[in-house]
Amino acid sequence: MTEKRKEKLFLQGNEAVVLGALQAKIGLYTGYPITPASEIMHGIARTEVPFFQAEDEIAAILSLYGASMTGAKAMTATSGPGFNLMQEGIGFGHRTEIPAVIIDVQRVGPGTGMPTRASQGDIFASCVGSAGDFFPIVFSPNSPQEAYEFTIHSFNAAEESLSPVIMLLDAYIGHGYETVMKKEIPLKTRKQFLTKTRHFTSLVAEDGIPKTTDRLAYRRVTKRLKEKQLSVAKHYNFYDYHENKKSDTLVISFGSLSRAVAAFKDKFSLFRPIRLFPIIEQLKTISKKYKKIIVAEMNEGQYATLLESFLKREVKRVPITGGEIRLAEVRKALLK
Amino acid sequence: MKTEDYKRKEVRIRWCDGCGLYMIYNAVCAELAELNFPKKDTYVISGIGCAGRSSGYFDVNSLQALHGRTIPVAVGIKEVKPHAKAIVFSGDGDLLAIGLNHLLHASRRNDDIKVFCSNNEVYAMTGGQRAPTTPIKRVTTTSPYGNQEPMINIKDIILSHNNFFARSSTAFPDHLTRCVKEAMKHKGFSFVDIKSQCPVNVGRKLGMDVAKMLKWYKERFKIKENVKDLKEDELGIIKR
Repeated sequence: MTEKRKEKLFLQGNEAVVLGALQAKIGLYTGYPITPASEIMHGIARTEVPFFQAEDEIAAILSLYGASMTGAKAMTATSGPGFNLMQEGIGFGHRTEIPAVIIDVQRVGPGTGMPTRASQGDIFASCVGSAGDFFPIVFSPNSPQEAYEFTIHSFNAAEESLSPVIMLLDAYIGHGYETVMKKEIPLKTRKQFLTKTRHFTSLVAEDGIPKTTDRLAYRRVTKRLKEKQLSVAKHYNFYDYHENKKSDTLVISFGSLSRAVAAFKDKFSLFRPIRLFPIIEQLKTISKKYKKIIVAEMNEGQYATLLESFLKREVKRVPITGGEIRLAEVRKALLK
Repeated sequence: MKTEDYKRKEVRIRWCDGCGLYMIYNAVCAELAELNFPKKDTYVISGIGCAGRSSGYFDVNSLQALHGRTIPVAVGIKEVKPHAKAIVFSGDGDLLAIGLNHLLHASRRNDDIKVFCSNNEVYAMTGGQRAPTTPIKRVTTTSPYGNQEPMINIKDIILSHNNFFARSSTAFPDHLTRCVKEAMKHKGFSFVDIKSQCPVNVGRKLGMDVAKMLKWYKERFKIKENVKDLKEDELGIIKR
């Protein structure tokens, strides 16, 4: 009985991330204070995990790569403004193929916006924020329990794909307290990638030799990276699908808003991607059954825009913005 | 081990003929060989610019970081591998302009990182623009009527945290070797400012070839021993 009680904890989403990171055997945490992500740093600072409070978010993300190139698992957490500063580093991580985990506890932006209020405004930033072509893996859990589990999945996906993996939370999940059950999740570790001396560079290079004017080398490298990301993503094909035979409408939502949308499962079929990118392939076949597709999200329709090009059909946007979710407003918007 | 053991053989070095970087690169490789430091515990980080390619020329674990972001990478390495040697090899634009914030804070924290700054007083790779290290009145592509901005005083920034500071020049190879040696030996943050010739973006524009540039450097700078402070035209080592 006492054993079981230990497995059950009452945590906020940010604390659940710390729990997950410890279970994933994190080797370095770096970060810069920012609301609403700071509790992750507070939690790590109280453990024995090496911890570096950086001078800015740029230093935070680059120091992850320093730790990670030695073989350690590394993580940082931030929110919108810091996430923007990290963008150059995220593209860099994809090209140099160094794993890392980045937690973005989203708040209302752009700029300083509404620092304590929840948002899902960083969807574009998480998939196309950096310059050039890259193919990120992005998760969006909707509870402290999932924040804990998907922190571990993020580490696994990063180790497997050798790329920075992003997990999007928001102020609701980050600060909201719920029960978290500990769970066995097998850990993945990259193959030793420092058997001999190695040069990491974000120049277009093959085997550490830069080929900066070779168009064919660029295409080969990009093709290999794309295929790698898509094939690793298949191991993390997480989504929720609730089919309602009476409805001809599919409502797509994710993150904290999906908790409010779940209240309408008697009226609609519901789809909740937990892996936002690469977009879940099954959505193509599932969406064919429905006359109408609604995408509800806490921004002006970022994921909807990307889904339209993915599904090659029009979707209805339901933006729930301003940092708060009111059930009555969600109902009105969905039924309109 | 020999100096050559620390040089990566399969890569062609792309620096211009007569560039000062060759000498700094040689001096660092020679010192690593002298220390016989194990390759697996040696990390060389470079940034962007002419010095940016340098990390790829070392046969140790190396990383070419983003512009100005060399020091955070070295900090990350030292956090998880405190016994490793983290060497930052970069240029003045990279370290002292875009990367100054990181340099300042690593100096404040006294992180055990060895920084070798190849200082050619311009942004050379991008076409010889004015840098924070460009002297007053110097004509560059972005100061065609002569530079009016004062130089950055990196020496006092480093010394304000009581860290190791050395200034040397590629025109004085023996002094350069000694500075590299002392910096490697020093426990804690060390910064070596190496005045280095750029025959293409400085020399050609001011009407000098490599030989003339080295002579010019020899006239401009004087070596000082056992000093507590250095003037702008003096080379030396300060340990506090």
